[in-house]
Amino acid sequence: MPDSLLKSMPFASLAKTADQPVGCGTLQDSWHLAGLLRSLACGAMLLLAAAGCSPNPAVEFTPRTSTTLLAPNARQAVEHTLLTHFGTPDNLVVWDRLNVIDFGGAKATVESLDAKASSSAKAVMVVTFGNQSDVVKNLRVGAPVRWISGAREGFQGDRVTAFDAATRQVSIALEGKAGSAPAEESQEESSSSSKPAGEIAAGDALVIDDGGLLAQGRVVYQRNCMHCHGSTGDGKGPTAKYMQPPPRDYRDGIFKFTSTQASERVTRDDLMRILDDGIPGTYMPSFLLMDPTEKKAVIEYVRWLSIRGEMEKRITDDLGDFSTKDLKAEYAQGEAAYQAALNKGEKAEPPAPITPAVDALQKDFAEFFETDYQGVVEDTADFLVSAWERAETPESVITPAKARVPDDAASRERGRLLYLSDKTKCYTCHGAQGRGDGPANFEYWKMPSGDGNYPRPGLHDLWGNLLPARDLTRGIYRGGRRPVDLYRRLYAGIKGTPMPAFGGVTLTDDEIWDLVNFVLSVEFTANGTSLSDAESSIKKLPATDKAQVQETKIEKTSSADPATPAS
Amino acid sequence: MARFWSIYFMSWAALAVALCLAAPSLGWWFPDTGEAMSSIGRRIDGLFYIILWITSIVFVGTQIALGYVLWKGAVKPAHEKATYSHGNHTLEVIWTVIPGIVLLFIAIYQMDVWAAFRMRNYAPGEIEAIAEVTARQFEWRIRYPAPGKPLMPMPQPDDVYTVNDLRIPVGRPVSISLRSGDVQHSFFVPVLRIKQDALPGTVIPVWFDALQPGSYDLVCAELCGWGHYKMKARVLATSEELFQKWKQEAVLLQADDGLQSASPAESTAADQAQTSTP
Ligand SMILES: [Cu+2]
Repeated sequence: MPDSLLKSMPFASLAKTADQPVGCGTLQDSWHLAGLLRSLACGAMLLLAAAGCSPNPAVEFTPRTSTTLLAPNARQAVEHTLLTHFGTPDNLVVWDRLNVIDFGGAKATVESLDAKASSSAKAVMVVTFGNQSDVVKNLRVGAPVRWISGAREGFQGDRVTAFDAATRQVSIALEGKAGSAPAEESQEESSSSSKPAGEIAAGDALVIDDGGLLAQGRVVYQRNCMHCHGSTGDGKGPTAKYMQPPPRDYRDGIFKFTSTQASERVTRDDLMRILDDGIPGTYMPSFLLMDPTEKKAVIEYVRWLSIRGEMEKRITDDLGDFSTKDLKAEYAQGEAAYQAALNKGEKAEPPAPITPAVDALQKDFAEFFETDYQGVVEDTADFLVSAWERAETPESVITPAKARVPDDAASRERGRLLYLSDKTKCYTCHGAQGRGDGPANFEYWKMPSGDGNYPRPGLHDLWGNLLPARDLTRGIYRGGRRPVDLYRRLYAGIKGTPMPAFGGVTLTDDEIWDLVNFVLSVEFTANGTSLSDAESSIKKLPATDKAQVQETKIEKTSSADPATPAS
Repeated sequence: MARFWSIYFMSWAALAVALCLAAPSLGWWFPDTGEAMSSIGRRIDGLFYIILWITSIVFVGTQIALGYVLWKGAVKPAHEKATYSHGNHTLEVIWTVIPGIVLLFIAIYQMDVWAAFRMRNYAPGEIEAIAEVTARQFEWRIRYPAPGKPLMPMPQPDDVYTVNDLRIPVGRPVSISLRSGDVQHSFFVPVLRIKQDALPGTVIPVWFDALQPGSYDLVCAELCGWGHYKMKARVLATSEELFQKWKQEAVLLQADDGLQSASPAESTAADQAQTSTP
């Protein structure tokens, strides 16, 4: 259903897809239900929806809490920036600065204008495409046109009305109005727009179906992902509350299971892998059989959401001086104290209102806006573009310098001793027996925000969720079970979690491989099943909770008895 | 006007028959070509068609009789009194015995199909278990033994894993060990006419064959939660040779240490060759 909508509806007015009931009413198309049955079923679903399901939440981009806590004019500025550069879910904006996103669409140049067939409302022309042949094949009527050069540059709203792939002849309805962004230029153009077709000249460059891939990604996302990951990508969709672990919040630009260095963003290939394989042990299912173009589109949309979210986060963090968070907290404290005093019958003064302080912040921000704000936006955009660009380069992907150390008993034993050493301290979280029950899981930890300890004992991830250390005996590897996947987890850590990066500094390649070999064997030794590998001679892990194995001790043990018989 | 009701009731019956006849061409029939792709599936379809024919004949016959009575009765003069009868023993014996025979025939005939495929021809122990299929919210996780090894009840270090992609060799009966990781699911391959519930805490052997290479939908047929519809997977049936070749490739891919040049391009080419065959 959404596919055909996408084809038949123009990009800018795709609003209706968003109004499609995603939670309750959408039928899957795998069975060939004819229209009659479908409408009957839809009717029944509507009845059900009226009786049971709660209404679908609005599909919109919601601001972060930190943004809502900014002084009102600062919040307005941030929201305006996001609206101009990213738009809304119903009206996506293609922002040229984000050249790290494949928005879709075909770049073309006007070869010749058919003056006879053209009028003030329609332009017929032959165009030359760049080398994006598949876009040309799928070009749809109603696709938006964006002019990059020539007299109509800056006009918005022109659409393709007819297209002939063989002759490359395109008819374009000239409905566009001059865009509002470059103010002076557009005024000139709109005054002379009475005879637009004549102004189009050979050599003008245009993009046909601009943002087509992103729009398709949005439809796929809203159908399959939004109910958990939320329309903003904040991991707070309506079904999210039923999930443990909770769905990923993309807005920090951080994904856990990547192939990249600790400081780098996720790659498209990593996201494709997650889509194909799912994340075992979580509610993220495999979308292996999804149409490849849809997968590509939704990955692009997720990257775009992630960039949008991180843009908001970084700008808002930069505007920390204009946050009313502390003022509000202080006022709430004062208010509580005042109420407590009143209840006790004591005399007390109500806390001073924060309005003057907020006004002062607003005044400061007004000044800041004039001088520095645009710079903050530009710097953030530059930073994000370079970060996401770098992620796709081969240098950011972790490739082991050495081949895997043969997976034999000696290697696993070396890995085991590393696991228990103070060099890696694996056991402090994952437990001496790999059951994910190390002492760190029972301690109170400081919050990174500096607001004291987390209310509950145990490890937490970047998003503030309780995150028990992985139980290695279960044989579930969320980021994949290939040796290279485990190598990367150990080399670069798991982003956004307490799992540290060992690569390059703490451990050598050989040591990481020994650890990989050991970790892969824990599942089989811990459950009491003997390895089918006959030469296996893995010892049972020490049963003590506090495995205090010192580095000196490791060398002693490994040199003293290199091959202990199997227990 | 007196005959309105007879026409009215008959038109519904006629519509039902017409829709049934048109159903296959409208796509309201068995998926894909309409033909089952497993040997038990073909026998099940045979049963289905026999029962369909029997019920069709009975349906058309009784509807015609009903129509006839309505048609005739509608024009009887209003003052004519109805006659009462105590019944007809011969008639009652006939319309009890004939359906009885029909039911008995269906019961015995279907029992034979079931027995042939579930007990007589193959028993679970005799068929090679090629994979363990674990249904979970909301996907199918599949574990195969390493090439040349039998499937063990517990995971082995050299097992091969896939998600939502069950590979089977074509032309011989294969068995899977069906389990559930959480709640009840149901392993349903419509084209192979196989449906088996997956129960938490139980391993259920399911055996079937695929007569032709192809990619067959595998879906969950037990409403198992909000993401039930996401449990879309496939059974990819290939020749024995391609199946073994795929397994070898999968072993290599799974042992990837980031340096060896496993060639996924080759395996996708093989996939396409297999899926394109109807
Ligand atoms: Cu299910």
